[in-house]
Amino acid sequence: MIHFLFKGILRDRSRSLFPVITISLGVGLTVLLAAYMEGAITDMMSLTAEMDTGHLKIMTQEYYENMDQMPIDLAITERDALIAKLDAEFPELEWVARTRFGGLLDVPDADGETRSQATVAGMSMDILSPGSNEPERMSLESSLVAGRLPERPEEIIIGDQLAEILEVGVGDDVTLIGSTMFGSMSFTNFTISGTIRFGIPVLDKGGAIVVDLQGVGLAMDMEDASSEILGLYRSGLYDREATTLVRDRVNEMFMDPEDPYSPIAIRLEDQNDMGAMLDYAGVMLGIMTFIFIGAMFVVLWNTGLMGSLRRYGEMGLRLAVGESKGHIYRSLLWEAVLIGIIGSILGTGLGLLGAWPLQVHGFNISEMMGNTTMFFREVIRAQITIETLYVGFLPGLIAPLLGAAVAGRGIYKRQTASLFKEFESY
Amino acid sequence: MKTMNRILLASLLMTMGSLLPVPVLAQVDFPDGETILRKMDENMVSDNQVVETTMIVHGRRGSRTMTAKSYIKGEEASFSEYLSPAREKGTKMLKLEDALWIYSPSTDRVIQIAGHMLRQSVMGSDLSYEDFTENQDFYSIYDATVVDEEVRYERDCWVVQMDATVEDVAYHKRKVWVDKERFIPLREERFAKSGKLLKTTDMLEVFQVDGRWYPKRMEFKDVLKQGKGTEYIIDSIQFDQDIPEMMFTKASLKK
Repeated sequence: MIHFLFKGILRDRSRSLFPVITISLGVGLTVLLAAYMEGAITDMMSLTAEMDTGHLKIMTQEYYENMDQMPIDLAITERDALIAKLDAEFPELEWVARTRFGGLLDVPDADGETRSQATVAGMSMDILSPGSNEPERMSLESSLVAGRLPERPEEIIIGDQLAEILEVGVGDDVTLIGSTMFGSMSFTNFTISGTIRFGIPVLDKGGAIVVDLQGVGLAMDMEDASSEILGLYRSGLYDREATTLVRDRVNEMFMDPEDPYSPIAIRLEDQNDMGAMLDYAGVMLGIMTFIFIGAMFVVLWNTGLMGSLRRYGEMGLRLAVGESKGHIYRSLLWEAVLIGIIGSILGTGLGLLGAWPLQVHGFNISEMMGNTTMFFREVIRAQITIETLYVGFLPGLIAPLLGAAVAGRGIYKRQTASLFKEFESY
Repeated sequence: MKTMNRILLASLLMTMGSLLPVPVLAQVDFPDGETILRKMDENMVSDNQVVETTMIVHGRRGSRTMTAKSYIKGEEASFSEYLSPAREKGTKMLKLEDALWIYSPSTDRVIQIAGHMLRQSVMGSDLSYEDFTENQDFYSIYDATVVDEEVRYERDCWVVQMDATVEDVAYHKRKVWVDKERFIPLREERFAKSGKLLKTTDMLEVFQVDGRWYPKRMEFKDVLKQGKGTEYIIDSIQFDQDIPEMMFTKASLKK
């Protein structure tokens, strides 16, 4: 029967063309949006993990309570010993120290007095150690606008926009004014080794400066301390269940509820509302699929009704020659499934055709980002995955099936006794 | 009938009420707030002062002790140099009106701090730069009303409510417990314009110098800041000294 129906679909284009076009467009849009959302969410997650949260973050309990204030006086002490223990216990993760800090960056004039000044948000990581993955993880080299990476603790990279505002460039000396982890005022001279543009609005607009851990150690009395220790899977892939186990184990090993300065581990999804964001993305994809199924269902129902009007005679004849109503109804459903499969295949191809250039070139959303505090790149790229290949089949099959099921009910309303009377009128 | 009953009941209650003894409210004569402020200013404000202080900042993870010597001229100028600990030693601060310059010996730089930073913490303490160099007479910028009397630190005090009469002031309202006999504040609560409590100051010890009563040991607490407060101790103070004008210039910072 399927072979027979398939031939019918191919030969009678007026029966199949419109539904196939409708399904192809709907599936194409679903595939395109799914690929785009997959790209945006995956990119945001990996970017957030690498730049800010890690797949797991360890900090003191007191720091965790006041994380938004970047309180370096609540930093983890005896950092290196803790990292060594973490490395031994959890080798699947790379453990790296980071310190976030705020301060003023002051630019001197020829007499050494203040020429310009700006508040800055500092990031500190291991740039100088040979073999450190941090510069690559933070895309420091590729994001440089001018100059080079720091080669000494007294060198600093500053945001390109910040450099413009302060009217400084590579080779200029600046003074970082902040406070030490013990609360003293701290003044440290740095030389600008490079300017950087991450292509991430939250960093580029925030007056970012990047310093090596040793530089911050000198400036802020944090030789063996850091505000955070990030754990990043060497595979680069976040695994929710495995991370939960690691978190629980770390907290069991190191956390002391009585000591507010003992470490606490937090998962990626428990920071920066990432968990809500992941749930939101899932819900959005569900809503999107539901809307497409709904819209296509209405269109295909309507198409089915129009088709049944056009094929009124055909149905009548099939009933007249003795075909049962149930058989005709089932054949209509099979026909819908075949149309759905054809439409889904064509639509998936169409969606991939749209997603491919979006994956290669991306879509610049910098104008829409405003003052977001989330880690998004200016250019969002779609990501074609295995899931993208089948995500469109669900709405592509359900919508025509529903449409045919509702529209085909008319078959059961035909009176066999009046069939020949109807034929006479033809 | 019901209305009649109500009228009778009301009349009865009124008659009974008039027979009860009425408590006589104690009439306390509070002094004029302005007088209190003037007397307090006589103790606290001087043309200039040279003061050596110890500041103990009780932070969240430990305490730090710093000593400094300050030269304060009226309300417009002050010069401070940190004497210890080693990390702060040689750091100098010059405040002229609303501008502040800091000299850091480690960088050999003179850095200007923006005006709004004057209300930020000094060296991580509970004092702002304005608190640190405060030498302005209250009388000229606050209206005062005595609102109550209380005993604080075993001393009889007037409770004085102060409201700023000028806009550009760090604390728009203050509530001060002033020693009735010595006219020195023993406790202060400092408020923002909105009425939000910003800081408390307790004078834990006072002493007499050059005929004035002056705080010897104070405890500042910035209520918006975590930590256990800052102790501020006057090690020595001299009023109305002959301070060279040169002291209040940027040139003195690098000396």
